[in-house]
Amino acid sequence: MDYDTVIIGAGPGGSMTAKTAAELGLDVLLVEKRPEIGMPVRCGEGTGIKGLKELGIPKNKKYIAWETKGEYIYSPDGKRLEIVEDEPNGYVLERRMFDKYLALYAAKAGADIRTRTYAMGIKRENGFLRIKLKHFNEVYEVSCKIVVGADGIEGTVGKWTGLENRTKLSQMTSNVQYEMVGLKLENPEVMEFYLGRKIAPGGYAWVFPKGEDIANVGLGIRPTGKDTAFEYLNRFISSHDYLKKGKKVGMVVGGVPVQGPITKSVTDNVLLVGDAARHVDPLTGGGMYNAMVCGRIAAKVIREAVDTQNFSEEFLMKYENEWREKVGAGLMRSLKVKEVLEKLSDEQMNQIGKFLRGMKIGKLDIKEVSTSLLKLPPEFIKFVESLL
Amino acid sequence: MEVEEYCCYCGTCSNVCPEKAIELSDNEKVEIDNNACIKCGICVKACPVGAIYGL
Repeated sequence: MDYDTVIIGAGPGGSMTAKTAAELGLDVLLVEKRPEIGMPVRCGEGTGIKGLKELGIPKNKKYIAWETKGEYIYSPDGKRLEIVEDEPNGYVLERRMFDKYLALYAAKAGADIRTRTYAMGIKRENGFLRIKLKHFNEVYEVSCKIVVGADGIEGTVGKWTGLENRTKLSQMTSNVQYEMVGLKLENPEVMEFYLGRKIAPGGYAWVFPKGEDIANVGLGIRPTGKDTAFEYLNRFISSHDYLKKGKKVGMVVGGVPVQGPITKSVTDNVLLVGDAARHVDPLTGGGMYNAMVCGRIAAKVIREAVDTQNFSEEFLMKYENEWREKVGAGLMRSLKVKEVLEKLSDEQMNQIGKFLRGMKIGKLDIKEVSTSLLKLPPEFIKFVESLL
Repeated sequence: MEVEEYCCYCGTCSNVCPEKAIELSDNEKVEIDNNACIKCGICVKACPVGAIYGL
């Protein structure tokens, strides 16, 4: 047997699985199809400080571009709700470095890493697996007990092993983002969110600062077949003076699955983690924290499976049950809020914004916007219900 | 169906294809199996930059 576990995909979910599994003494191979881990970036790069602390990820200037203290949430009429704390509560990461460092931490813990290595297929053999890999023109196989599909939205491990993880068009957002410099940010210490059907139908636009005058400016929409996310973003930028004078120095593109977690994330010898398991928060589209938390759970269950020599779906359900316990309820709550938001007209969103601004929200303990929305008092929920 | 050269290789199309007819190859290309394709147009709508055509 070459490895206890082979992990396909070196994003945060895959690397955290590899790191934890290696720390637990397993023989681990982490495979990445790209030549360089972390590239190209497909992320808005905003995340909560609390989550990274909980995961034991060191505060390293190499991959933390900027710290933020809260959010401005703009309703369609351009008025904003300010939720700002005294102390920093968010990071805007440099994902190309963050992903690389996570893989580096995994390698330090003992995991083998192969980049520019493309997974071509999986074969079952005597209760184990053979993974077909391709590195440049060399095609070869490695044997393992468990494979982890941390292979993202376009992942194929689910496809190959009968785990249904495709997304319906109505359950995904189509996203485009520029990294921009030379912006006149009014407050570079907050992440900005813009809501509205004309701005970003079925999604939102964001401005996440990475410096005094640098930010990720992006937008996600639920695709309709008319205008692309790209066209919406260009319109958004040209309609804001503080953005349109900025210079675009990079662009990222991608789909985010926002249907909530998949119904089945394990089968014999196989686990799915992160975007591949739709661990993404359906409201914010944020996926890093959940992917890493679930990756850590996956590694612990793999350790137990190796100890008991039991790689059956029945045993691996332990992973599924544990991640559902940890993040399942939050994902389902976000899904519900998202479904309510999607039904709101611009005018209704304006009314909600006005209602919230009128309330003394004070200092909320916020990790993400979803949490802040969910911590609002019952009279707010009633107010929203009265609008629908 | 065809893919424009400006495709960013993000894989969104492959994820939404109901026929599993789109794969990302190892040489950073989106490959559409036009025999399996049912011309539903879902990939065309999903693409963030409008890089798929041929309906």
